[in-house]
Amino acid sequence: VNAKHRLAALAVLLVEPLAAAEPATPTGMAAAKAGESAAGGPLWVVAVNLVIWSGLLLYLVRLERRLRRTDAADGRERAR
Amino acid sequence: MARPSPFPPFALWLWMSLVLVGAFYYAPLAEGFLGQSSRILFFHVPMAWVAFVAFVAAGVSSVRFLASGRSPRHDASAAASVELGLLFGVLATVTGAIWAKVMWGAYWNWDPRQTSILIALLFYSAYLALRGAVADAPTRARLSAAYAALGLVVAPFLFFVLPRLGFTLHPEPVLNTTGELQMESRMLQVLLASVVGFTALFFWIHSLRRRALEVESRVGPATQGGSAS
Repeated sequence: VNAKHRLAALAVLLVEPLAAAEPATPTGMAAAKAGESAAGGPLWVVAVNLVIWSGLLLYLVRLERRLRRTDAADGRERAR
Repeated sequence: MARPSPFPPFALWLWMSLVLVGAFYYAPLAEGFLGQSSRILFFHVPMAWVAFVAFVAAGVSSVRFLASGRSPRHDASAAASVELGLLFGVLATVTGAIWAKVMWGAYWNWDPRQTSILIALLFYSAYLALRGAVADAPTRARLSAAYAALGLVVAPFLFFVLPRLGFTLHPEPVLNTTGELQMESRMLQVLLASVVGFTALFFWIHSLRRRALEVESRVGPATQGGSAS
């Protein structure tokens, strides 16, 4: 029975981590617990987002160049 | 000589980077929201907006296709719009579900807005299924244009009318029913900047995807012909 109870408790923790956590805290307290100020978000989130955004933009620039080359080659092919 | 891009990449990179930094360090936290969760607003709302713009753009391109000359360019434009509308719609749904989990305790609540965007996603997924089901290119273009043109009625209804018909867990829209803007000014600045940035990003990706589809339609038949001979 104990093993079953432990398994059920583990399942609850895995499926509903927020339900198992303590009740929600006010904004300022939650921010302080996460090691960040209420005025600004966590720096690492901003940094990761900037890296992802820069990577996406570089990919789009590369795609744009390849499409231009394809268009130009297609134009030359038609002209011949 | 190649035309310069209408979306200078560096300007867009700078704009969106400023939006990112502004979302976390310039805009204050909204009252009544847990922790940092209100910052998701600056990405969730613009994504939903871009999904709507994309679906309307698909309808407009389809009407132009049907009304003037059946140009393959308009067909490719409509297809690219629907693909991107679905992409941004899914992103808006996922960000909304994460926010809902934090605020309402569950990822999915069958809220009118959640339900209506789900119906919109299913409606436009059927458009892609329709395109995939018809082999003949002119027939496919004509049928899918008629379907997407219907979306000009469906999309505004699902995005703006249906969510307002019943009780919703969502907060009041930025521009409420009395026509007043009820949002802290710095939050509003970042939100509007984000909407502009995401809209420009959509039009840039749309132009790339449309051109790629046009190249595909030109190269595809030639390749098939070559392999057959």
